[in-house]
Parts: sequence; structure tokens; C-alpha cells
Amino acid sequence: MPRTPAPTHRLQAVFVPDRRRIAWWGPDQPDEHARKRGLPEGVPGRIELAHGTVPARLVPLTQAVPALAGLAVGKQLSDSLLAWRAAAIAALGDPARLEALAGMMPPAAHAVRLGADRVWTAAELLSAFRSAVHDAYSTADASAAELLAARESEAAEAPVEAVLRPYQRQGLSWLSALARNGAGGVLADDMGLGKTLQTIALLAMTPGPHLVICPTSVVGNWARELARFAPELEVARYHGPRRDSASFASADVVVSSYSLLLRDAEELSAIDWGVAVLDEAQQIKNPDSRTALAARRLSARTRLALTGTPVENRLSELWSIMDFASPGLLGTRKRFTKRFAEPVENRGDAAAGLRLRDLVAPHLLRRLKKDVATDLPDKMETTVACTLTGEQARLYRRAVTEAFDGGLGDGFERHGRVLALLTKLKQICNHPAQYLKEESPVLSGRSGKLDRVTEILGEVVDSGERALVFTQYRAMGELLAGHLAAELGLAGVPFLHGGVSAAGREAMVDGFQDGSAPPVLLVSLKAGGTGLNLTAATHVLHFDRWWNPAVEDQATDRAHRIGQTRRVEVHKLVTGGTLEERVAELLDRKRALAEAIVGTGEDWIGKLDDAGLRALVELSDAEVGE
Amino acid sequence: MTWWSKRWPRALEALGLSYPDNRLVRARALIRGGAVDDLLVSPGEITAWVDYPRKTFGVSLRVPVLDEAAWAAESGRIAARVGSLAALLDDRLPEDMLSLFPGEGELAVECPCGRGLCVHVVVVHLAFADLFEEDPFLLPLLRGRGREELLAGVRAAMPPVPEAGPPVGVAVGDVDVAGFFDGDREGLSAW
Repeated sequence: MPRTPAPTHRLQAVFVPDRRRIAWWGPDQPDEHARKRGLPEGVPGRIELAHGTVPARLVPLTQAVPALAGLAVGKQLSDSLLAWRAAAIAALGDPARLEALAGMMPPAAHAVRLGADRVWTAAELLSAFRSAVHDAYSTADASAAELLAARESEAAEAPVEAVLRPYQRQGLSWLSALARNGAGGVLADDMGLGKTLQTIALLAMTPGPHLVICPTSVVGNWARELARFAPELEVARYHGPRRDSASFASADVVVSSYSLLLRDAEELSAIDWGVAVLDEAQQIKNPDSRTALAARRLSARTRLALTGTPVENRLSELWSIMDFASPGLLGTRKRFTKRFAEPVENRGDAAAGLRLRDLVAPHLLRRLKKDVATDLPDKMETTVACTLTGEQARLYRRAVTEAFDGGLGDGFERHGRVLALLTKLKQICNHPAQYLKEESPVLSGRSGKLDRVTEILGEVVDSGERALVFTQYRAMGELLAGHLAAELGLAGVPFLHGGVSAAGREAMVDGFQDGSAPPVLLVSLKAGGTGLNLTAATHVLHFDRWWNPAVEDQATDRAHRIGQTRRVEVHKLVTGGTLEERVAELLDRKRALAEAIVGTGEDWIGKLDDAGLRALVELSDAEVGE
Repeated sequence: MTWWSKRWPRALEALGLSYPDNRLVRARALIRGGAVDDLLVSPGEITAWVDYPRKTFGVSLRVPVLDEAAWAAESGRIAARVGSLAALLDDRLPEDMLSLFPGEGELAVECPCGRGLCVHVVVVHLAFADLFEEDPFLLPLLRGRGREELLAGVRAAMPPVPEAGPPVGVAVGDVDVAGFFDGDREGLSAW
């Protein structure tokens, strides 16, 4: 007699007593079968049946039982699903009838392992089911109360190399309560409040391995922030053409991108992660997208979604993000639409809005900048590391090779050649189209920096704030102006540069200050260095670096000066693995010294010898995107 | 429409509503026209302002609040079926809460126009039904218990489950592998 039953293409159901959940199993993707039948999908896991361990989706009883009871009988339903449908109907209506079911159940509906060589009988399992259903309904969700309480207290410990602000300690307290309860959540703090830092603290204090999925443009940034704040964590980037899932074995944290979540869904869902983090989780706001499906397939004890904008346009986006983080919390999509989305969006029903807020509250933490204003300094600087695209990396390597192969000469000639090389490399980091001087180029997806800047500005504009973007290059400014206007849906993005007349300048400044012009203003670093008062801006972006802190500070101070009553956030963009990053590090490390050395801009680089120069400009391997 | 919001208007029958009744048609039109302001539901009372005609009428509908003993009996009845609690948690009113609807002589109405079952009263009554449709907890609230209180009371009243001994199970070798997926299909389908 074969020890293993034949494979089945029909969805099977079983109650798993020690997890107190109903499991779907059988076909390759039980979640899709469940969804097609209007059943909750549950979270991935493994269950032990008579014939061995099988992959399954596990659903809490309060979600599974009503859904099973409402299931329509049909020819395609397996006997085990029919059996648990009957059990659910009995449990909700007349539990005494459960006993009569035992004789009708197939082994598939009850043969859950009980110790090494025994399995549950149908009668025993039904009796355990009865008391588990009773317990599930007779106790209010204790974890909800714990999660709500946790955000009011500050975490005592934060194993990161940084001093957390009080609201970040509260965030960490909530995050660790999520992990303790095996629950999921959405951390939706405003941009700039340190979602990354709070998350890293959670990863450092929770058993791994952990997975971070983020946009390609910030893979490098995550790896760098992890190394900075939690240096004891082994970080593997699962990224780029030479990625290897063997690296999962030794890593505490694996950092990967949304595109790989799609392409390598198999490898990534084969691991039982400690915490699975989705950064910029609005990427899965469309629940039907392949990305959202792949995310829901990840197996993790705790799922965490990070986003500054949990709802951009429609409530269904919140449903989708929450259905990753805490599957089933908001019910099926259809029910959610009827119960919340339609009343709130079509009829402005405040009561439905409040009920939704109460339901979501334990699992969603959102602090606005104005809520935590007293905790924050009035100027915050962050260095934003971006990833080179494959195209950028090819151009970059070629430019470096050509420069060194051709010889840099010496004296005055050398100085000129080195500066030419630096300019080329900086242009490549900015955008291939700038370097190649393309006419009406395609811009999206070719520069990690441009994509990242577009994301940051998207959030700024959505939150009704205003931003200044500085670049040294007229050509890059022109490219940015067209691209940002189109991507952010603005009427236009003005560009203040040396060629703009005094009257034109004044009009741009006035429009920006009084709000009549679009909320983004591009400024050439040379033109905008002095004399302008742009305090309407609460964000300043340095698209490329001058490498002279004094010049940059002067530009930043267009926004951060007397008359500015709000906090200013400064984002300095740097491309990882390139000279941009190395110079930035050098400057950060010895800022005081550097100011003395590089007081005249980039001249000091021209004085380096070949080896020193090579160390500064050569591209390191790990940094390239797809 | 849900059964409970359909059921609600029938409480007016005791006050003289009959079918077809022109007051229902006019009240619907007034609600659509935005004649109702500040509809508030509190234990024992629904109040609202109705703008019609050219004047504002402050209307109140009253239903007695249940006392502790009545609530204990009510909670016990709801708790007897887990399905009722499951429905409440899904924002649906279980049918065994029908007894909370105003019974004979329980609904008292008051309107300054002083014409008994006037169109103002019908307007407020139907406007409540529209809110009630979305939020079934308004009925227990009207009877004296908010959502959390109601759920806590029902949970506390759930009857205990008979104790089961520790499972013994059967040996893995005795599991019918050939018939692993086959149960009593007919019996299960008929359930």
C-alpha cells in the first residue's frame, strides 16, 4: 500500500489544533484556490499530516469559520472542504451536531499528526475544534489591546547605534509587540521620521532571518543604514545579476527589490522569515498586481509594511497593504468595499470611517511631523544613497577605464583631465541622458537617483509641502524640469538658473513663496547660492554634490533661514559605490578638516596620484542594480 | 438593503402608518433633499432637526432602555448561538436580536407640529433606518448598550463547552491512504 495519497488538485481543509487555525492545502497554490471560492487566503505555513509535512495557508478561526459556513456546495468542492463547511455551520448554529460529522469525514479532513506515529481521529479533532471556536469568540482580541497599549510606552532597549527619539521608542515598542504576537502592521509615519531606523531596531532585537523588500533605487541605502545602525547584523544583498540564494543561509537580513520579489518569488517564499518588511509598500496598493500576490506569498512570523502614504487615492489601497501585513483583518475585498469603502467614499459616512479606524488602529501606526514636532530638530539632514542602473554602471566603468588607459599625464594637463573625468562620472550618476546629451530622451528607469528623487518629491507634493531642488548642471536641470512636471502631474516645474532675467527670477521666487506656482522649484547651485529667500520650502534636495559643504549649506539656507517657522529637511543624493559616495563619506568623516582642504571645491582631487584617484572613482561591484 | 433596516420602518405601524402611505413617499423625498440635520442616537432617544416647510422642527423618538436583568436575558439568548456573535463582529444584526426592535406601545414620538404621526416624525424615523443599515449597533445603543458593552456582555454569557479528554489518536499506519480524500459526500453535501 502506498504511504502517500495521490496528489490532489482540489482544495483541502483541515483544522490544526495546536495552531488553532484552519489550514488550506492540497494544490500548489492553495491561496489562489481559496480566493476563487471567496475564502480568506491566510498566511503561508507548513502542517504535519499523516503522510508528511505539506505547505499550507493558515487562517484564524474567526475568519475561516464564517467564510466556510457561507460556502456554496458544488461539485468541485473536496470532501474535506465539505466536511469543514459542515463543521463551521454546526459550530455557529448548533455545536451538538458536530459529533454526527465524525463518521462522514475523509482522512484528509482530520489526519493531523499527534506525536510521532499517531494522528487525530475525526471525533477528537471535532471536539478540539468546538472548544477552539468557543475560545476564539468568547475572548476579545487580547493582542489588539496589547498593541494599542504598546505604542503609548517607550521601548527600554534599542539595540542600534543611534539615540532614538521618544516617538521612535514608542514606535519600537509597538513593533516589538507586533513581533511578540506574531501579528503584522503598517508603519506609516511621515517621511523623515525614521521608519527605517525603527525597523532596523526591530530587526536587531528579533530572531531572524529577516527580509527587506524595497525599490531597486534604495537597496543600497538599506544595506548601508543596516551596516551603520546595526553593524553586528550580517546583511546580504539579494540583488543584481550575480545574486545567489545560497547567501540567505548565513545572513541575518536579506535586502532585495520588488522586481526580484516577482522574478525570484520561489526562492524568497521558500524561507520562513522572522520579519518580512515591504518598504514603500504603496507598491502593492493594487491588490491584483503580481507584486501584491508575490508579497502575500512570503512566509514570515511578522509582516511589516512601511509607507508614508497608506492611502493615496482610494481606501482599497489600504485594504491591499493591510491584507499583506495582517491578512483577513479587513475581511474580503468585496466585504470591505461594501462595509467601508462605499459608505466612506460615496456617502461620506463618518461612522463607517470611525469603525474602520478602530479596526485598523492596533495594526497601523502613523505619526505626522506636526505631532512629534517638539521631538525634532529644526533642520534634519539625510544622505540618500541610490543605486546605479545597469546602463549607468556600463557607462561609468567605460569612462574610468578610458581615462586611466589613455593616461592622465601630469601638471596642468593632468589637472584638466582629472576634472573632465570627474564631470563625466558625476553626469553618469545623474543620468545617462545628461552624459550622452540625448535629445528628448526616455528618463524613467535609467537613473537610480532620478527615480529616487521622483519618489521623494511625490511624497512632498502629496503632503502639500514645497521643495527646492539644487543641481550644478543646467542640462540636468532642464531634464528634471520636464520629467518632474510629467511625473508629479504639475503644470510645470520652473528652473531658476543663471540665464533667467532678474525679473524672471523675482517672479519665480514670488510664485514659489506665495503658493501660486508649482510646489517644486529647481535652482542651479551657482544661480541660487545667494540672495534668495525661499522659506516656503520645507524640503531641500541636493541632486548632485558640490563637495564643498559651505556652498551646500549656503544653498540649504535659502529655505532654512530667518522667517522659516517650520522644520526643513535636507536630502543629499549620493549614488552608492561611486565617487559620489566616497567623497561624501570623506566629507562626513572629517568635516572640519575637509572644509579646510576642499574649500575651493573639487581642486584637491586633481592633486591625487593615480592610485589615490582610482580608489576614489572606481566602481565597486555590489552596487549595481538590474 | 439589509433585513434590519427594512424591518425598522414597521415600528411606525403601531402609530397608524398603513400602506400605501403618502407620508412615506414625502419623507423619502425630504431626506433626499437634505431636510434632516444633526440626527443623534443615544440610549433611549433619537433626535433630529427637520427643515420643512419653511421652518425647523425638533423631533424626538423615544424607546425604553432595557434594564440590567433584561440585558442579561438578552445577552444570554444571543450568546447561545456563536453565529450571532460572528454576525455582530461582521457588522450584521443577527435575527435573534429582533426582540430589540420597538414592540407594541414602546415607540413614543414628539414633534412641535403636534399632529401625532406627522411627516417630520416619519422623516427622522426613516433617516435613522439609513444609518442603521450601515451600523446595526445603533439598535442596541438605543436600547442602552454600546458596541463594546454589548459584545463584552455576550462574550461573558457564552455557555461553557463540554470538557474533552486528551486526544489518543490512531496509529499512522491505520490511516486509509487509498481513500484519503473520500468521505461521505452525500451526507456532507446535505448538511
